[in-house]
Amino acid sequence: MSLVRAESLKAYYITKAYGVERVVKAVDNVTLEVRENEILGIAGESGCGKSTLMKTLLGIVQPPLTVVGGRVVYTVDGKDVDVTAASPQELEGVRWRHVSYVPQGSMNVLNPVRRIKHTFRDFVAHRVQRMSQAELVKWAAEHLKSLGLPPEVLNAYPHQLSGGMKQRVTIALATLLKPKVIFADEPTTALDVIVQRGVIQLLSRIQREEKNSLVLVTHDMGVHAHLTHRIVIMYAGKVIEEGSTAKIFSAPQHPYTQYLIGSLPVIGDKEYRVSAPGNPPRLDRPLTGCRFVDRCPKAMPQCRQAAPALVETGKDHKVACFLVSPEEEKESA
Amino acid sequence: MPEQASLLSVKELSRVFILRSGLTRTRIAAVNRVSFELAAGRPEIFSIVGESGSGKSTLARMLLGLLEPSEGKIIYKGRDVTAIRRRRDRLAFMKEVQPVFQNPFDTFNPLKKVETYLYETVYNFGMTDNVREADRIIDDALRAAGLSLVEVKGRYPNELSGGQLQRAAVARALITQPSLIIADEPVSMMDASLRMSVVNLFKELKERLGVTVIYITHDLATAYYVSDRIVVMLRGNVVEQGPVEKVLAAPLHPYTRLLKESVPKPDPKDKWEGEVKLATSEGVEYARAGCKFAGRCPYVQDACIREAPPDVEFDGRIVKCHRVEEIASGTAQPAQNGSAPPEALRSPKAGSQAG
Repeated sequence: MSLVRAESLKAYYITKAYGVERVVKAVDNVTLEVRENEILGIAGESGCGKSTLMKTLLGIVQPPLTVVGGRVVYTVDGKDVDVTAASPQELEGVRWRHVSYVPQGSMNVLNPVRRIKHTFRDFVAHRVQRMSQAELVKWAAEHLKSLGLPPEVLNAYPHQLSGGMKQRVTIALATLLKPKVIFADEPTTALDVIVQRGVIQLLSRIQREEKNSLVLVTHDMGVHAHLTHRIVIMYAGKVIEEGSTAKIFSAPQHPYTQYLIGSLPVIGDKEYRVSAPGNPPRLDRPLTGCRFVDRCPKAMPQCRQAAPALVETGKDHKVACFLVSPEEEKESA
Repeated sequence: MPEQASLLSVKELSRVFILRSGLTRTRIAAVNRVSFELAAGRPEIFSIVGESGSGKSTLARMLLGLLEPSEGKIIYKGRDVTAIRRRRDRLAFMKEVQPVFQNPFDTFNPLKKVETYLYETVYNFGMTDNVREADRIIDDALRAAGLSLVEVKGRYPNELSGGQLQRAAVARALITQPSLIIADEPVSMMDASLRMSVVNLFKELKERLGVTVIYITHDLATAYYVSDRIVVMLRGNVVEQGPVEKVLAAPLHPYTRLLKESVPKPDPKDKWEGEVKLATSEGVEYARAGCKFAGRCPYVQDACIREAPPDVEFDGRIVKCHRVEEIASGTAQPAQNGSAPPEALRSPKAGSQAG
């Protein structure tokens, strides 16, 4: 069963300056679902629309970002909630309880002049029925303890904590109300390897214990290999491959995914590695055909005329490439 | 050691920062007695790796002459760089040693065209006064970095991708035909595919132009991929240094081992086992008298907590550890209770002395 669904989602950045309209198609016809009890990874280069997709899935859509087509649906207690059409009050009702969010660079989201326990208080003040300070500290301490963090941090100010500790406190905040789905946007990007390992361990432990779902956006394929169950590969605003983590790493089918996996350096192997040549296309120009065609070593004439559809090629494995399937993408309204 | 044979020789370099708050003073040795040597005429890629807060960037800033060392010497081609006072000598040194910084979008002013910086570098270092000659020098440098003047001319930083911009930053550094490039986290803002293209560029510079590169990073996988020798830093101290094939492929210091183990391998079948212990606060580790890693080390002994470990030469590398020989031979027993002594959460002030 799915908890969050995106159906033919199109989210564009539309700006107007001096009468010139500029449209950046950051998320272009994306369909995906977040299932129960899974860790879903979203991978791709910077600028491929990962973060925009996440914002749209969370319903944080503010101009110039506009949802042009499609919709996002949450399944809350068996009922569907259309997030793209929901009122702010309805969204407030599902946020943090049904879906929560660990933002990018989240070690800087803690208020520097307030102790951690006051940040916890600010966070729950409007969301939970009134409770005394002592009750709240007890609750927060228990929650931190269950995540393996020292409850003493509640009395600390953010500057007294290391980057990894701040990041884990932010994760503790996001999981306090036991959400069904946690969205994490590059949760480990600014961290060092050892701290990153600690944060990954924390995330997978929460998922294991709570049996909720985690959506992890990062460009680090190593993190995906360690944490996720399924991976969605994005390129220039589109999903180009989707499948189980084991499949994506052992038998990637899209040429871009093959580059992505093949270019990763490994300690103990000094063999020369090539990355995909060239640059991704500009998303503010009209694009026809496959987005990867200019960098693809196996490009065919057909690839320039129409975009390939994302088709199922095996159990839980979908690819959008004419080498795999001749089906063209249908333009939905 | 004959001075002529070395390109850059760093001797017992230290930098101490003093943090004052109220009446207490905390002394933080961001770089503590670091020594290494780069040979002349033998270009190499020399990596400095460590966590954030390990003193990597402080070391880089001292090498570039942007920060004065508290103690120690930096000798470049037989000359003490820290003693340079005259502007002309300073300029000659800057011409030889060029930086590449972390985030290319911060390096270039968004309101100026990218080429402005390239021309400025040409004129400021007196490469030429002739515009056409300047064009040629810039084009050569850009081509060495995989770009060309036609691609860059007239464009603002936002019109280039991150990878192109970082290449332009490398090209700018190449204009003065330096012998040494110091790249401080040049790929940490980039994703995997761009990372490899920049890292491959360094490899090319070394092989084709004979430039020595000091590559500062926390990405161990690319460090292993490009470098010849490596230095691992922890809280201002070099804990292990030597050829990369030894230090990263078969690390001896427990910290290097932990670092290597913690790099997530891009292989879903090879996942971590066991939980990792994290430092709660950097200040506590900096203030520790003995080995800075004692709070997290599985092999910790009383001696590790009491006194700083010596530099031990072992198996072609230098390791800062009391128990390196036992660890290498596999006879070292982990601490009795299986984990290091508990480290209470303390503020960085806890280890300070009243001043």
